[in-house]
Amino acid sequence: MGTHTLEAIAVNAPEPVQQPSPASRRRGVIITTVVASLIAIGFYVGFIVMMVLRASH
Amino acid sequence: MAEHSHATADHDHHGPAHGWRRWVYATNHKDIGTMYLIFAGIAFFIGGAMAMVIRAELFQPGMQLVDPQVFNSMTTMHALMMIFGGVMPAWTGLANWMIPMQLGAPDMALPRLNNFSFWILPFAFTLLLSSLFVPGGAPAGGWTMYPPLVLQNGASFPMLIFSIHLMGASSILGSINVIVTIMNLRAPGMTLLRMPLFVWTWLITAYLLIAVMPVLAGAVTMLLTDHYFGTTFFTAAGGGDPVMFQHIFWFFGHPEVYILILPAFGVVSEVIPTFSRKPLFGYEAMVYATASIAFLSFIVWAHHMFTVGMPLAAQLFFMLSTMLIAIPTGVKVFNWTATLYRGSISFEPPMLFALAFLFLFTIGGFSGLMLAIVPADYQYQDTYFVVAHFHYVLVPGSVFGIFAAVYYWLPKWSGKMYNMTLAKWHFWLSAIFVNVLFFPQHFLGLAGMPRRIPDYAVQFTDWNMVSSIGGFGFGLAQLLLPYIVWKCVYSGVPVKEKKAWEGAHGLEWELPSPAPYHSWSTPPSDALIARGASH
Repeated sequence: MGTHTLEAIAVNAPEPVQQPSPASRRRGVIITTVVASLIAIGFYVGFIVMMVLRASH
Repeated sequence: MAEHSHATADHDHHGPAHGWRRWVYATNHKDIGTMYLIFAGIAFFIGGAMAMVIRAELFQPGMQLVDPQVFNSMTTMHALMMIFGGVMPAWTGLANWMIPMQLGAPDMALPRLNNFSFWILPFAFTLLLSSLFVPGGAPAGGWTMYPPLVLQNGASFPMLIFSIHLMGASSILGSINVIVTIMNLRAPGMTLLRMPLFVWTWLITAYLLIAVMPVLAGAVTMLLTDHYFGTTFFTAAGGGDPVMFQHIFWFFGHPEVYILILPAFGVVSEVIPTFSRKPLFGYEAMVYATASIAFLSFIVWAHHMFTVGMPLAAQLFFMLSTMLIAIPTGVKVFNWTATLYRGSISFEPPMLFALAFLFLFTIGGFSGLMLAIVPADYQYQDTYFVVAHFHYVLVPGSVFGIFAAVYYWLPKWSGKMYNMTLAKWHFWLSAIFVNVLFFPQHFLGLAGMPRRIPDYAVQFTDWNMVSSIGGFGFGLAQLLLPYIVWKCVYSGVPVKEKKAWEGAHGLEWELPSPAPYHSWSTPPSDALIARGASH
C-alpha cells in the first residue's frame, strides 16, 4: 500500500473535505512509527538498565 | 486529476493473488485478519485440549491420567496458548479486519510489517509446542515464569524464552501498525471523537502493548542471562532478588489483563446499541473510562503479590488503586445498561454473547474486588478462588467478546448469514457450561483448595466433578463455532443489504456485503461518517 494508498486517499477524497496532502500523511506515518518504536525500545532498554544499576549497588 | 483518480482506482481494485502466495505474501488487511483469526482458533482448540486434560485429571482425587510434571506443564502451556496464541491474536485479527473499514481507510498503514507480525506467530508457537517433546518436558513452572522455579526447567527453558520474545515482537509490531493506522489513515472528517468504540479501545490497547510487552521481554532476557551467562538478577545466592521478577512480571501482567479485555469492551459497545436500536449512552465517558482503566492498570501490579511481604503502606496503596478501577469499570457497565434501558431489544447471537458478557464479566469484576482486599487476599491467594476469578474475566469476558464480534461481523466479512439456530445453541451451551465450569471453583477456593495441583483432598471431590463436567460440556460446545463459520462461508444465505443488522451504525456497514477486497480506496464522505458516528 504505502505511497499508493496515501495518494488514493488524496486523489479520491470527496470535496470539500479538507485533508492532509500525501506528503504530510507520509510524514505522519513515519513520525508515529518512530515514536511508537522508541516507546517500545525505551521500555525494554530502560527496564534492563534499571535492573543492572540495581544489581550493581 | 480525474485520470489520476481512475488509474488509482483501477490499480486498487485488483483482486487477491492466487494459491499460497495470497497468504504467504499477504499485505491485505482482510487476508491477514483472516489468518490471525484462523491461527487464534487453532490455538484455542490446542489450549482447550490441554484444559480438558487438566479437568479430566481433576475429575476425582488421586492420580488418574498424567504425572504431576505433565499436569503442571499442561497448566503452564494452557495459559500461554490461550493468552498469547488465542485471545491476543484473535483481537489482532479483528483489529486487522475492522479498523481500516471502520476508519474509512484502504488498509493498515504498514502492510508488510503486518505480514511479518503475523508470520512470526506460527514459528513462535511451533517452538513453544515442540518443547512438549524435549527431555524434561514442556515448561511447568506456571505461565508467570517465577524464578527460581522456572530456572529448573530442562531443555524447554530457552525455547520458552525465545518463543516469548517472538510473541512479544509480533505483538509490538502489530500494535505499532494499529497506532500508526489510527493516527494517520482516518478518512477526512473522521475525528478522534467520531471513531467507533472498538477503534478507541484498540488504540488504547496498542499503547498498553508497546509499553508493557518490552518489559516482559526485558524480564525474560534477564532470566536467560541468569541461567546461561552467570548474572544473578533474580538469584538470591548472588545478591539478586527473586521477588523483583514478580514486580517486573506483574508490571507487564496486569496491563496484559486489560490488553485482553479492552477490545471486548469495544465490541460490546458496538453490539449493544445495534440490538437495542439506540445510540450508545455516554460515548465520551466510555472513551475516558477506557483511558482511565488503562492508566490505572500501570499502578496496581502488586495486588498479585500481597503475600510476598511488603510494607503496609505499599499494600494499602495497591489495594486502594486496585479498587479505583471499579469506578471507570462501573461507568462502563452503567452506560451499557443505560443503553439497554427502554431500547427496542432483540436477541440475536452477538447480542446474547454481549449480554452474557455484561453479567458474567461483572461477576469476575466483583471477585476481583474481593481479591483486592489485602487481609482477605491472604485467604484467597493461590487458591481456586483466583482461578475462578480470572477465568470469569477471560472466558465470558474476553472470549465471549470475541464470539460476539465474530457473530456480529461475519455477515459483513462473508456476505452471508450464518445459521441463527445453531449460533443460539452455541451461545446457550457456552453460557450454561461456562458457569457450571467456573462457578464451583469459587467454592473450592474458599474451602482452601490450592491451584496448580494434580491431586486434592477428598472433601473437594464433588465440586471438582461438577466443574469438570462443565469443562467437558463447554469444550464440546465450542466445536459448533468452526462448523457454523464454515457452513456460513460455504452455504450461508446471501446478505443483500449493506447492513446485516437493521440497527447497525458505522462505516463498515456502508460497504457492500461481502466487504470488497479493497474497502475504502475512495474515502467516505463527511455525511457518511457523521451518519455512522451517530452515538
